[in-house]
Amino acid sequence: MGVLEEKKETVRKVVTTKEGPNLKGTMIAVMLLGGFIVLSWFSVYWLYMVRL
Amino acid sequence: MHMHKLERLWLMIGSGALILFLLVIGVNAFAMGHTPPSDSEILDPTQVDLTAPFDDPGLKKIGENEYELVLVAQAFTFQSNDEIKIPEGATVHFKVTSKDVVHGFQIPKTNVNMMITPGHINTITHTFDEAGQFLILCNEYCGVGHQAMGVPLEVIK
Repeated sequence: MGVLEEKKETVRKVVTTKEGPNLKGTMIAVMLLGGFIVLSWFSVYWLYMVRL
Repeated sequence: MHMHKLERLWLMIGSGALILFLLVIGVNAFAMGHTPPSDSEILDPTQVDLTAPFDDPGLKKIGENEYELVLVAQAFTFQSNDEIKIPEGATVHFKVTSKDVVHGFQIPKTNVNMMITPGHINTITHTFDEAGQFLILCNEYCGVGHQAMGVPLEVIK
């Protein structure tokens, strides 16, 4: 019958750069926790020094 | 190495805090002698009454304004042959062991706080800069009389 024609389609891929996750909220939360840890550490250290 | 700028910042702050903490307590321990209580010396817990210095527990002056206080912990007291009266500003080396179970040893308002473990000689040193009435309390449950276990320590002007 007819010649099977191969159809070649060039599918152009559209490249999109995905945005990374927004870490600003995480950073704020973690820094608040870190601040609490540092504050606790120095509070206990102060108690120790004062009772020497 | 590629990492998120916030991750880099978090790593720097985290390790910086850790290094700061370790430096502070490192200097305190190695340069200024602020170390935890010791329990490295051992003895036979069944022979406490026959082992010096616990065969004569009490207060002994060992230097100018320096004392050694030897105590034997047992349910439910800290045994001493002397009343514990120390002059203001004196340094006291506490040397304590237990004849029975694990006891605690704490003088509230000071940094004196350690465990008294049978088979060990537990030591800690403290300088009493302020006169007043203090209490040596047991803070580790040791039996039915635990809540009453404590002896007074007086620092006189």
